[in-house]
Amino acid sequence: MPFDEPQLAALRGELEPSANSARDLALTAQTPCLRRRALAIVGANPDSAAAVIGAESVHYGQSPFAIQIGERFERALTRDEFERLIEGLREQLGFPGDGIQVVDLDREIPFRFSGARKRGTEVDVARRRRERTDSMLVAILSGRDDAPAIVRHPRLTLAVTDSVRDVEPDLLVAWPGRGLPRLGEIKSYVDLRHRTDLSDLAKTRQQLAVYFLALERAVERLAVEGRLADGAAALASLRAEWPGDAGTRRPTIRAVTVLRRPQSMRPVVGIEDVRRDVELVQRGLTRTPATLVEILQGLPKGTRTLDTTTTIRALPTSYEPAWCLGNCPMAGACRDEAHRRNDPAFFGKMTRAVLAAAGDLDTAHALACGTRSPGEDPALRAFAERMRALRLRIDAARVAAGLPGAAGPVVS
Amino acid sequence: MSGLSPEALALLQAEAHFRAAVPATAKRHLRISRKPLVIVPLGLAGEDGAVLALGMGRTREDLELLVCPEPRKWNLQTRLLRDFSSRLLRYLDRRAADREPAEVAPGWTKDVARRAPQIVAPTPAAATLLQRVAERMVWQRVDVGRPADPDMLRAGGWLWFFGERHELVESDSLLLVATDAQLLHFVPPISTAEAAHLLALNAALAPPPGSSAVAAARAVEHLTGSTLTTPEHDNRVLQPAIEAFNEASREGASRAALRPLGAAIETAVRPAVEALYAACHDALDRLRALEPIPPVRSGGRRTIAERHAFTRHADFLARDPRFARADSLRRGLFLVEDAVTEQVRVLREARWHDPLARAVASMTGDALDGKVRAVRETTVQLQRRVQRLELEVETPGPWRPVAGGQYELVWTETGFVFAVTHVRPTPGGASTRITLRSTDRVRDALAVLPQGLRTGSDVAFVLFQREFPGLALPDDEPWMLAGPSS
Repeated sequence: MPFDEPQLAALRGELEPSANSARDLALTAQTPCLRRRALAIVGANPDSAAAVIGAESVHYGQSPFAIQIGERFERALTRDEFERLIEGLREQLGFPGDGIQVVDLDREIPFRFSGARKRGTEVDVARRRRERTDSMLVAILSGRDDAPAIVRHPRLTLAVTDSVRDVEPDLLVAWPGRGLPRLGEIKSYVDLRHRTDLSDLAKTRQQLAVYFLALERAVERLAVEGRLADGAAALASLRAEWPGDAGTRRPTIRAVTVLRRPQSMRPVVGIEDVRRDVELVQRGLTRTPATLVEILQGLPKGTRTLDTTTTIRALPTSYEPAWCLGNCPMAGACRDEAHRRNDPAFFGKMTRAVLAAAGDLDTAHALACGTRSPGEDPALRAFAERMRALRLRIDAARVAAGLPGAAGPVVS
Repeated sequence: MSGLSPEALALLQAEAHFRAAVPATAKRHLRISRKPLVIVPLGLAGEDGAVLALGMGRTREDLELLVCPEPRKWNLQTRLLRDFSSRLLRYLDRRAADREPAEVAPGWTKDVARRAPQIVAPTPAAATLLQRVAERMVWQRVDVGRPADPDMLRAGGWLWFFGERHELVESDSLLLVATDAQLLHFVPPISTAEAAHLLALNAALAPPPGSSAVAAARAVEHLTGSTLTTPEHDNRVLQPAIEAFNEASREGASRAALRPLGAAIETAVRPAVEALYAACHDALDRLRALEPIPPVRSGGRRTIAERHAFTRHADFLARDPRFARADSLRRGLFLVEDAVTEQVRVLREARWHDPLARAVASMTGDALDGKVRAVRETTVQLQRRVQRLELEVETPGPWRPVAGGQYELVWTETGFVFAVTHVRPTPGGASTRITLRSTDRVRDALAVLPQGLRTGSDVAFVLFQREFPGLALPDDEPWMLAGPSS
């Protein structure tokens, strides 16, 4: 039986629920870090976990200006019945002229309540959104006339190993009259054509990949429930070409990205191929130990929640500065740990790979300086021999250049 | 970034971890002007290419700060860029006009700039932001009845040149990035990701007395270290200040009333710009302390190439320039050719002039350092019997040549090329003996080398790499290279 939301909430304990499950899951797929994955699966906000373990997150966080521009752009797109977005879809993707129906679940079934937020109410809203999304999906896939072409914030369910999580893509876009639902993501960063930041685009694609997995699952479920006349055809339509696409023999999964035109609040609508990202996310989420049960088995006996310092620290990490410092609020703690343990990962992936035979910086340095014997291990002997030779050459060159060798004073 | 092999970098990082920053090179591989133009741009998060503040100056003391109180407003941003343009042109135009005749190609003399300029940016992100600013200036929005500002267009054209050259030319010194330039010469005890923060990198390279390098870097990393102020600072200081300015301007406040609100924004960004500006000068001083390799000295190959490139672009800008949004395939090919050729030259020069770079290269057989054990003339049978100079060199530790590689003797002038004929470890394996035989300019080699190379003298070789062979486009170029289509 998969873990359901109340069970996941119990595991989160005092940790705040995540604000963006899809982003967390997409990021999780990029790193082998088990700590990050466990938190993403239970839907805990990594910021609150960082606060629990007292990690400093100086490199991490979002500026209010970035949040503001995101909100302004989304408002501009959805104003006047999504006028700008529809205009973008028409002009840039060739959507047909009139009669584009839009459903905005934020307006129809809002999450904002006038009184205090109650869990019961939130759960109810989430359920109603899921049901409404299901009925719209059926309408789109059955090619009904009343099917919407744009759905804002549909709610889909994704099975992450042995737990179930809800995700809300920005958009579900369907070709009017043809069905063919595609997921869409609105990003406020500027489209600079070939100069657009590739890492931003990659993150967007991976987020879309998470949504796609959820969409695929929803279509499968609707077919099993008998709500779709031809389940196989519906599933195939998720990967089919859109009208106007250039023909290609490669199987692709298309998704819609809505970026910002430079110095304006108008959209640049594009199509991205997320097939590779779907595979990447799938692979990332099923990495061993894959299930929540397996992860929990590795924790101290009697662990009931993940909200204590001991539990969070007991979850193994995989520190990689280039990724972690920019993407994880707990990176400060992992960095300190790596530094204390003289772990070569402190310097990055490449250093870790080069010094893998030695295991830690201490051993690597000692073997290179000849102050420690490599013993009988042939791999370590070969490593020590090479490092020693390099060390001697570097020291000889330093002395020749009038610089201090490995034992002398250092740069100031 | 460090030019070291992954192995050497890991070794030096392990050393730095237990001590402090260590040198990655024995010499300086970049040109440093006496008074370069340091530019510290600060952007606004979420607004790609929008400039909040620009600090610029040529000495430590003369920082000039330009601030845009609301970078999201086109007219205010344009005002900042116009001010920036006039200052940038003041620096560059004088250099572009100050020329002297020089031979730019065999038999072709023309007037070229006497001195190459130099712009210094704190981090790669700052260099990218300057490129975005250049695009903004070059393709400035033109309202009906208002032509493009010619100064801004020209300044944008200059920044474009510096940005593109920095992107394409290996170890370019026209636009110097303080973090990368330092990482080329030193290995700090922090990761490369952390070293993208200039203040953290500087602290790690020169920690205050009594503090470890890592602790010193940690102590400053919450400050602005690149192009964006921290989210915490934005929330607490900058956003309220900008909001107050916007509110007042929405209510139609007079210029006089807006001035103190603009000053508040300037106060909010000044410390960050000042810190980065000072850090750029610290970096320059640290680099100046190193002895430069000849190609980056005044009159050196790379310095001359930079003067020529600068002059070419000045001439281009003087002819009502047009800027393409994308390169043609033809131009792209030539740029790739230039980039690859320069990469080979820079690598060769680094190994030639820097014993540390050579030591690292010798581990992979890309260079050889050792002592001469024998110099002799030998005769080899080719189509006819010819004489060759043969050297026997002993190098400490194991050494393996690059398969099929030829080696250039590090000599005062152009080297002599040798081929490896034998490699054998000495008994016990403490060193390796290598026999090399001259392959070109044999008569010169036989006449000159034996006097300089005696048994027991030090000798060095670098791998001889042919430069990019060139595109050698045929006369009837294919249509996609804009050749004849029929």
